[in-house]
Amino acid sequence: MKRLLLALALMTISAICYAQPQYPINQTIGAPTTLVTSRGGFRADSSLIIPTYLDTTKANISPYGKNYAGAIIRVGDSVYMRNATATKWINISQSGGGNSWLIGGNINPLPPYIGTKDEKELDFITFDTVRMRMPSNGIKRLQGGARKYLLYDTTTKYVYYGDGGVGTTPSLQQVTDVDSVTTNNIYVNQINYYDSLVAPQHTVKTKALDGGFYIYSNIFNSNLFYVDAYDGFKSYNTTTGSISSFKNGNVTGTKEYYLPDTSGTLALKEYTIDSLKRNPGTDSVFAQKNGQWVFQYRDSVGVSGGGGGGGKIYYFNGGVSMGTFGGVPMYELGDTAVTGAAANFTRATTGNIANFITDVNKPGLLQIPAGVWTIDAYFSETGGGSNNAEIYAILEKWDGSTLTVIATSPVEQLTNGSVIDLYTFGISVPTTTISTTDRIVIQFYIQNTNGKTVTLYTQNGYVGEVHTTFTTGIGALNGLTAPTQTFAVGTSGTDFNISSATSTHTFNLPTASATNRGALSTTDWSTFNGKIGPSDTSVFQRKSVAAFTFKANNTSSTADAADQVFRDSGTLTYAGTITWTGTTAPSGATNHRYRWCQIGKQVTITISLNYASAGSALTAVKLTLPAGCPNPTNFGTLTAANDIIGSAWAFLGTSTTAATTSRVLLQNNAGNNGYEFNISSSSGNYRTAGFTLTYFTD
Amino acid sequence: MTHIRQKLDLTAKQEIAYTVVITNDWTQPLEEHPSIVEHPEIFEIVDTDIPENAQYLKYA
Repeated sequence: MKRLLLALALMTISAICYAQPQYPINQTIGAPTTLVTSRGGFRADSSLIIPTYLDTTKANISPYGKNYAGAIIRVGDSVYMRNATATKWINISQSGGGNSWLIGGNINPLPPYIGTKDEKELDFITFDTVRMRMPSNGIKRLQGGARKYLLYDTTTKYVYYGDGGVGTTPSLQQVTDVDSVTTNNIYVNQINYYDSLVAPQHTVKTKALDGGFYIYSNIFNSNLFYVDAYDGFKSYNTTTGSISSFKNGNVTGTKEYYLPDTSGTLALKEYTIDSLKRNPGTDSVFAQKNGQWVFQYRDSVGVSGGGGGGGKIYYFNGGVSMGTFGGVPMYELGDTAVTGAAANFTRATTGNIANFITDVNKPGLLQIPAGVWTIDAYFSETGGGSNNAEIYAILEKWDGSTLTVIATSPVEQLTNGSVIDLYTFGISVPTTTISTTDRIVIQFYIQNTNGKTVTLYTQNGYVGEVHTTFTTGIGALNGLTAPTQTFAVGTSGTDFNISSATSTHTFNLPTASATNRGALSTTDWSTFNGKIGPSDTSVFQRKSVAAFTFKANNTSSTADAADQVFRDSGTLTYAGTITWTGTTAPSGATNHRYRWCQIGKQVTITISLNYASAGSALTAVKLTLPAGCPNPTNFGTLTAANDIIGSAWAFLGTSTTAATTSRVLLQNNAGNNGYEFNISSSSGNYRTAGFTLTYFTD
Repeated sequence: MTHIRQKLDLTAKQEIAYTVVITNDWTQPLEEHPSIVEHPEIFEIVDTDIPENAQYLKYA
């Protein structure tokens, strides 16, 4: 009975406890300070309305929210749950169309950002460690105690890189510059910073099929350099607008490039070669011209390969047979390259593969200057083992009967296998005396073939050559062949001569003497200069004297000759005034002549009158002094009219053969205004008259 | 000017003498000069210019 009552009591309690209570609508269970617990779960058929707070801080007011793990609250459009340790609220919202990011990815997410709207940094955590923090001004990558920063300033549009310790202000460096024209261009600053954890090699590249990018340098001397993803490195001249580009090492377009000189100053360099390379395995520089690689120079630190040469070039013309020399067949080592059909030589065993000799009387010099001869030749090797076949050359001279070795090159390995490649190697050549008829020989040998077949290519695009130390200019001067020769002066010998010995040419100009033909010494010059002075030369006139003069000393002592008068009138027609005295004057055709001559002060005059018809009863004739005759001196005393100054014999004739001797007087005329000659005689029928009279003039 | 001259042989083909009688001291008419009076066949009075190369005769 007691058991039954207990059972009934328990059943009643149970019924009371486990019967589903029926609550009216909108009933409240529990109190703010009490906890209502649901065992086995809680289901709301319609919806579960959870408490709403303005923020999670407000939710902490309630101890049942704050202190209970799993508590759920609503803040705005987000749902939070108290974490397992009841220390913080975790947003558990997953709204596909709401304002949250989906863990599994987002499509057109709203809002289009992830971050914080308050002044909070956003941490990115992996392995429960903050790896990257987005502070208010950029990205901060955390690395232990040091922090690396990459920041972008939206105002200045600069990108900064910096680092700093925990709690320290980062040291920022600007690494970009802004394009003032468009905001889409970023210019990398002069200083580049690299994170030591990042691979040391940095590249900037475009995606495949991308349109490329341009990296511009500063404009210098009107040239701007940039990288075009398609065409490579280019330069743009901002003045002319011309563009040059490098493509696979070749230069196209304009040829102006500013390269630094030894002082670092950019200077204009102009190149006209196709391309430039350093020969692999050597330290020589070659340029490709017209498809051929041509040795240019050995670089500053090179000790082998290339170098030397620079002088006369000979070409391996394998298609031009020169005959046999010392039993050895040879081909032309020519002055000009033969580019015709290929002429190749092959050999598969150690030994001589090909030989070349210069033309007759070439080089025609007396000496081979010391230096390095550079051989450029094309070879290939095929077959055989893995080793490289080897080649070397021997320089010799042929004197017409004997081959004499001058030098041997080092061994050159054919490292490029079956590829026909240019091999360059040098021969160190000592100073060698040769004759003008000696010819140069180069023999090629191969070794270490190990079953390989070696081919030497000549002509047809594989022109081989040797750069010698022979000068392309003067080889010998007056028998001297020294590379540097000098001039000197001397005085030996009996006539001008040039003496050449060793490296000096002496020009000998001896001093003139009774036995030497040469230059006048200063002493002799002074002597000659003393014999004829400037004043003598001005007075000493043998070829040029004044008109009607000769030189004479009219003094009683030694003196310089002075000008004296000398004049001869020659025969002239007398045109003076003739006055006859008599009945009739001679008449008819006339033939009157006169001539006078003055030497010094003495004048001699001759007058001759001749008529066709005689006059009659003539007793005298007067003739005036002809014009041009010097006036006679009157000694200063014979100054009156009719004064007689001089006289001479004269004649009056009836013909040219019959004459009456008379006299002629030179006197002042009746008017005392001139001079006349007066001939008087006995009366006659005269038709001729004449005289010769000498007088002095002043 | 008028003067007494010795008659000329105008047939000569070369230069001939032109003789003028000096009458500077004759004050009478030229026709009365002794040369005209005594040798009219030789002398004549002309009124022409005296050539520059004329010779003169002191009639005696």
